[in-house]
Amino acid sequence: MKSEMKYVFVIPFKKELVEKTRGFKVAVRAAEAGEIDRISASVSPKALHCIELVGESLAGVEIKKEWRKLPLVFRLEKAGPLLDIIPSLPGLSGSMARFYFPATRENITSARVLSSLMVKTGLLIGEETSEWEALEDLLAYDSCGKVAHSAVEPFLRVYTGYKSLHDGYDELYLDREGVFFHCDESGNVALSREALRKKDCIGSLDDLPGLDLDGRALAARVERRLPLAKFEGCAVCRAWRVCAVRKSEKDRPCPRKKFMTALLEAAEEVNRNADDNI
Amino acid sequence: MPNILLTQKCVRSCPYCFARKQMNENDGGDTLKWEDLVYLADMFAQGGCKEMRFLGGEPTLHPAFSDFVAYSLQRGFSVTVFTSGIMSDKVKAGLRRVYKTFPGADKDLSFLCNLNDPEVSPPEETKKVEEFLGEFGASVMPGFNIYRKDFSLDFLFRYIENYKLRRSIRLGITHPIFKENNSYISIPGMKEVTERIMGYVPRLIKEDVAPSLDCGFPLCHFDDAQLGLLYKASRGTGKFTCGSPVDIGPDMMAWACFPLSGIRRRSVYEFDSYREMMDYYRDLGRDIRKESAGIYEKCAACDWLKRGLCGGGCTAHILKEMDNSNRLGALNL
Repeated sequence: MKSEMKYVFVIPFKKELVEKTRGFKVAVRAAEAGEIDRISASVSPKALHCIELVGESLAGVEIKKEWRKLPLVFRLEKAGPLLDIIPSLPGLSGSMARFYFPATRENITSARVLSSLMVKTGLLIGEETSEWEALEDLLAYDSCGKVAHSAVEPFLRVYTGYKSLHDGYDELYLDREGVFFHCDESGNVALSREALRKKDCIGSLDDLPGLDLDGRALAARVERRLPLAKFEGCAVCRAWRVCAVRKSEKDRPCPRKKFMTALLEAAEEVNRNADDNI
Repeated sequence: MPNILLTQKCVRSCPYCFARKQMNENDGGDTLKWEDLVYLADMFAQGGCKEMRFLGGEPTLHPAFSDFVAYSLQRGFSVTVFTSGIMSDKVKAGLRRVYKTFPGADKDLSFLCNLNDPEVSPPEETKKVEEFLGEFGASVMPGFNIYRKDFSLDFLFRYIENYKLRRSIRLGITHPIFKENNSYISIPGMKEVTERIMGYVPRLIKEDVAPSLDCGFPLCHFDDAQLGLLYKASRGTGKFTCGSPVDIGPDMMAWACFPLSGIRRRSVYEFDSYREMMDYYRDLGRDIRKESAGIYEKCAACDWLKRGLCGGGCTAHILKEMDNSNRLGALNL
């Protein structure tokens, strides 16, 4: 792989930003669904990591026939009432589009309902998550369910990437430092979504060599693995491979540990069954 | 076929209520969770069951009632809702949306509306029922639970004509609920009830309304001439056996049917499959009938029972009699 293709610039849809990032992979933030056609016409399929849209609810989201093969990623606050969603279901379930929701109690339930209707869903599981028991229940449904359903992210990522997974699943959220570089409308570059929000930028797309992407990637990797260097917290947790949070909780029991261990075990089981052709 | 109780809450307080024991022992606060509906849909689908039957209490009181119906239709189930017909404008608006969203819903969604005689019902209740029938009548099969021997079916004929209901009447006979005091038709009273039903058969045939007898009517209460008339009136669909239903509560506890709701309750999650659950409750019925074949002593030697044409009346009566004669110990309930 060319080194440029290891890095993904997350950019708002502006022609000049697409030009400046040519040769790299890009995840393009669309301000509205109307931009999707223009994005897919401007960026080559090989360079397009995904098109990201942010919205309130799934109700009213329409996936046009010609978008079905596009890697669309929606970040939504909630799903909304099922009766509002059902008219759009053929488009939603028949496309590559995936719909991410914060992992609240209500959204965890929605993920299960939508998954059973073959809609590709995902939950944003991070530091702020607290519904670990409901997530574990959903994981049991997702990994052990006997009836066809659409797998929920990040569970699917952990099952399928299990054998080579060492850094969790946060690349699904475009939020892995050293891999994803987030840009604003002026081309300023930050290491994360959060850093960009705080305008904590490392440089500009106008000076790509000055960004030292390889150096940033190495530093980020070291930073991520640092908690594993001490014999405590994450280093002594067997779920470290699948956990994307990586905050060593040496002074108190880690609230994520039980769920992340269940996730690891589910991935082990899924892979064991696949190896045994079950 | 299992019945799913969406909620324990009800808007009526019928003296014969089958669900009384179940509702008395719960505070009415429970409603079926989405997670459990998905679980049941998966379990039913895997077991080859194609129908969702929503009961209560009053199932339309469930806050996600319309979404539950829409979800079930979307999963490919047909849906039957057992309702009083008393529902809020919000629920009716939700149902309108269901019909709009699923253009073929009039085929897959039906209501079994248990109607009480307006003569003995509060006028406000009757008004709401008639509003419901006026709007959704084409999908409604009227039902009537017989708990008094002097019942009248006249109002049902009127409703069928006025509101264009489906031309069929489900007639249920009320049974004793194990360890509970409800109004029901006693075994000696049943004969009088069947005679009164037979009195309506000429009219049923004339007006092309098919009676559908619910479980618990013994075959021997009808003579051959009456059975012939019933066969014609019901378009050849009459049965006198126990359907071995299973009820599932909002807390996912299962039991054989309302009259037996106090015995051998198990969580749905204890069963590995739909088939295992259905077999478990079918076997419960068989266990009881091994001790006592039917509601009469003569049932044990009855040829029609042996041939599977009669169930020997409702198990609830058998249990009551066994309880009265201190023979329940044999059943390991």
